[in-house]
Amino acid sequence: MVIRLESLTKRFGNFTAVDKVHLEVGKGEICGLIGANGAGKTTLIRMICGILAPTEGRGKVLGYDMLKERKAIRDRLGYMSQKFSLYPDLTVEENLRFFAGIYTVKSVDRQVEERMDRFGLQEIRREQVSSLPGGWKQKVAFASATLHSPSLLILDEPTSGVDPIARRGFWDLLYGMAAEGMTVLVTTHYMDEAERCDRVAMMSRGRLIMEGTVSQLRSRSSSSHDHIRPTLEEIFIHMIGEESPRDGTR
Amino acid sequence: MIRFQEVTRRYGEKTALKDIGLTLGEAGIHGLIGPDGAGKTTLIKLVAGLIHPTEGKILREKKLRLGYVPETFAMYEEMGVAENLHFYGQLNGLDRERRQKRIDELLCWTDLDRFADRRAGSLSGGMKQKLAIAAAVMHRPDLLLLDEPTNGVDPLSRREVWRLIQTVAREGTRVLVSTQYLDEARHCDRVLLLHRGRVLADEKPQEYRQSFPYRVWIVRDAGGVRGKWLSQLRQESSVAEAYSRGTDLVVWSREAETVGRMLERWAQEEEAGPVETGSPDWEDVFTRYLMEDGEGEEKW
Repeated sequence: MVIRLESLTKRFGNFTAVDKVHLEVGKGEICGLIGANGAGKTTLIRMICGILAPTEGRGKVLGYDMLKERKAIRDRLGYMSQKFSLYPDLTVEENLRFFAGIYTVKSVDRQVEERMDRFGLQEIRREQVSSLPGGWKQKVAFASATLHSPSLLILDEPTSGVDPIARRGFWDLLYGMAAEGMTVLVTTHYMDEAERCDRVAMMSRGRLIMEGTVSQLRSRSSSSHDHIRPTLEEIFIHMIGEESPRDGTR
Repeated sequence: MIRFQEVTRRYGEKTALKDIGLTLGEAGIHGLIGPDGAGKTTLIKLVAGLIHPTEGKILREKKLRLGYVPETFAMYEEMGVAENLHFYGQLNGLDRERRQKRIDELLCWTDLDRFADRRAGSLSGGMKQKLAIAAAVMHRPDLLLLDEPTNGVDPLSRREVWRLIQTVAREGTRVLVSTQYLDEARHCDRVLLLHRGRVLADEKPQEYRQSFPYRVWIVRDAGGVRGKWLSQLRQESSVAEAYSRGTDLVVWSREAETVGRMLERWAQEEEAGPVETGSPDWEDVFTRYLMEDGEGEEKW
């Protein structure tokens, strides 16, 4: 298991942001983490990344203890956020070299060339990032986040706002890298995106309320629907709807 | 209500919209759908009269009353929910009695009645959007412009925002609403697909489905054979497009029977499937136009 969480809990004062979460993600799996705003996704991700220490429970990420070996975890994962953290004034190649430096990639030249080949960035290597369309920026960000060949990649709403062809291209690359053994955790509240994952975990109010492949979730919740084939969004709304009524404030 | 005649809008060197001809205000809810950088905000600002075309003309019906909700939250964060609505009502010249009546109605539609005294700044993203929409329809406009009201809003609140838009449309206000989420086209009576400043198509939802030129096959539980099948399918001349959607594999073809039989055979050999015929989703529809446009060459 690349991620194994046992009863993982995080409290901030009286507020329980993550409540006894059990989750296992295997090598090469693409797991989607979905939930409303404030469901606890970000807190859970921060713990998995080794940025926050859990209050209770335990877990291992890439074989390292989430309490004691947070730095080892941080060094071995890749992270790409919706707001791609690229330097707009630098060229594509300069950005890649910069991130290669941060991630302390050995043989920088070779890795940067390899990434540019694989992601089809050679033609635009001297373009300034700010001049690129959204889909290309995303591709550069993706290449940067995987420069050090991380065993675990965390993606935060990776394809929001890009055109569908760029999006399919992104997922093609991702499926390819997962097939080679990279494990991927995607957080999103765009259900179309979650449907592309091998497995989906739904969070609400800090708890993991449902987990499985999209077809498992469908068959488990079909009895409660008059649809023959509910969409993931319908399943999600149904599940969350059964929780206690929501507050309108943050 | 509003007609665009060969409208082009540039910002310096950059062309945000090119040669746009279209008619707005005829459908109940007109969706303006496209990725970031498609020109959605520019189009809405042109309709609102906040910016003007670089070339071409926009013809407007006289005395058209507009409501406009910009992309960023424009309510007074320090003021209460009802207080904000009173303020907008006053701006629109509603007298006290009519204002109160309208506010009560809007608070009820938006489910904000429980939060009437709450500071606007303390509301969640979805609630803020609903408040902004309520303020914009205070005066019952003829046309309501909404610039990405569901961007970054979670699925539950997103559904509530769409319900509110539908309520507003039922009251007789025509709506022009933009979104980057292609699947939200399903809420619209008419769907304009916009990409890189150009209109790809502007039709009713059922027309898109009817005119989709391919049969769509879906192979369920094909996660394990994903890589192998995709590389084979992409070499088949009878296959127009093949891609993976989670554990499903989606295949488009004009030669439906041949491809269907082939997929059935493969599925039996490799324990994937079942193989089903599906209908195109909104992303398929959008992609079709990009491919016909030659934009597919930019594929990566």
